[in-house]
Amino acid sequence: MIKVFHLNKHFRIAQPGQGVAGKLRALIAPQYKTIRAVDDISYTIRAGEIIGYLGPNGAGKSTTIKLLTGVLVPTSGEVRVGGREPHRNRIANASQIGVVYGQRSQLWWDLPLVDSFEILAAMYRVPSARYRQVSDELVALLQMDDFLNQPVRRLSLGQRMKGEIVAALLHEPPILYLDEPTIGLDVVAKNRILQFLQTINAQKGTTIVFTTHALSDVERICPRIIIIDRGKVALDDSREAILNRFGRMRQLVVEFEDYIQPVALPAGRVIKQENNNLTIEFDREQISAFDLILSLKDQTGIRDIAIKEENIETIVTRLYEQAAR
Amino acid sequence: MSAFSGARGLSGEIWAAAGLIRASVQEKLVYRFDLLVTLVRNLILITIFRFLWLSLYGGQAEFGGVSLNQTLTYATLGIILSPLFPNSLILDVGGRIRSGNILFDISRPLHFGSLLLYQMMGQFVAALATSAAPMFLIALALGELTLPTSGWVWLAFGVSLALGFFIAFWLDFIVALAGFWLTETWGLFYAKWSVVDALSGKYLPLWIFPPFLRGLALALPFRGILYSALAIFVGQVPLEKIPAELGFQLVWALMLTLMGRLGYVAAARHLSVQGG
Repeated sequence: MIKVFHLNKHFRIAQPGQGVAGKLRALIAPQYKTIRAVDDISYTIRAGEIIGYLGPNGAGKSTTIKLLTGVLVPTSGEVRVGGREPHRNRIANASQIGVVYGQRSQLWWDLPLVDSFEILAAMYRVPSARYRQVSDELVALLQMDDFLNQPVRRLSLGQRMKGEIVAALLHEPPILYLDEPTIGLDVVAKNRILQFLQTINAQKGTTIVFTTHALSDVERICPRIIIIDRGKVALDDSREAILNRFGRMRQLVVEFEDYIQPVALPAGRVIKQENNNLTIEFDREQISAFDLILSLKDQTGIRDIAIKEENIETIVTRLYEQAAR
Repeated sequence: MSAFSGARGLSGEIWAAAGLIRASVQEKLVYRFDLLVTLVRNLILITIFRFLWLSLYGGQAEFGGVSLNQTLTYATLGIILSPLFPNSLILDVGGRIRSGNILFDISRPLHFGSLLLYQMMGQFVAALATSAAPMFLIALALGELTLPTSGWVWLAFGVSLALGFFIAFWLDFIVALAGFWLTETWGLFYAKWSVVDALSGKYLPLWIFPPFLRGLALALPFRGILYSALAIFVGQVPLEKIPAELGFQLVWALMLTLMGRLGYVAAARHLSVQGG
């Protein structure tokens, strides 16, 4: 379905120069810096897969999506989507894909949400009867009836994101790209959307590429995860393999009423201890956070507790550490 | 795997166009207050220009072969019709490039130029129904307009107006493409606005220009936006010269369409290589 082979995308960025003298110099003789946004990437995505495309900010996730949609032309290498080169067949490619950008909106701000759907259906030349069938189905799945007639600008972020996703699916594209669709969403809205994507994938066989920087987003629905960093594929593996390597570690941060006595932990290790705060790293397969907290009950009163998952930055760091070893 | 079920070819294009036109009509109708402001603004402008021309004519019924009634009709109609024509696409396109929302526009199964064209056609229809038509009736009731008597003139006026729309759109589109290279578009917007205001004959009929300027204005495409239709309406283009006037507009409309399409290819290449 999607094939990427030794793909490169480099940008030449003009450097503005520092201070007045520097800027004047840049005006006459601009200095350029080359940025390798996508650096020799290769992979194949089969029809019907859900891919979690994971990476820190600036890793090249959005650039990859733009190359796959045909908005950007590769510097070198090959992209094929459904056998076509997207940038050479932009319009033919456009009707085969749906795109959602979490930080942008493709909806008509001042019109009721349902109007945006109708406009997009017309733009993608979906016959009226088919449009009604598809939109009824999607709207029911995401329970959107009560805000369908509200102007988009009055919707909450979660409601709007549901609208964005339905908007991208009205022409029933075989491929759906989602660029950070969960950004800023609360847990309930996020879960509903993740579940919905899983349903769509199961029922319609839609191939889904889902970018995010949160491992927890992709671990539930993506059987395959590609981690990219600084434009390169750092890891391309099954969910199980990746979670086994990185998803098990958690951090428990405890704030006590008073100074901490030395503690003996049943499992995990203390990685930071200052004043009233204690940070413990533990493997959730070895001990649950609850048991760990219980083991601390002999200390003076606990004021606050937080459990942190590993974020993508630390995972990427650890990947490099392991590779170096 | 679900296949794409949409209609293709010309009927598909018309289907898409109709959807976009309907969308911009709806969008315009949302801003009721805006419509009211336009109405009031037009009334004020019409009044100002009425008194201006009355004093310039100084009680004479004719000046340089053009009657006061013709001039008043020209000025009034110019004010009423000019909001129909796209003139600020560059702000729109520039804004969408800066915000990055251009990503959506260029991932549609439609040419970017067509997408904007259909949206502007929607605005044309909306402005015609909500502002130009009621203003026309008000102006008529106030006795500001002298209507043509020949059906042919009415027909030519309608055709000329439509051609003027295409000229205005593609000129605006070509200027808007500069937004793909520039980050700041206000300067260009004002420059273009002034040129169009002066050379399209929006406020001043081109026949009162000094000979050199008149020659220039008549040779440039801007005249096809508004002047052609107005001059036909008030009878400054004799019946036998109407085909030539419409031909001038048609040639420019086609040339500008071609230039716009070619310009967009270059702009899209720039965007897709540089990443905007």
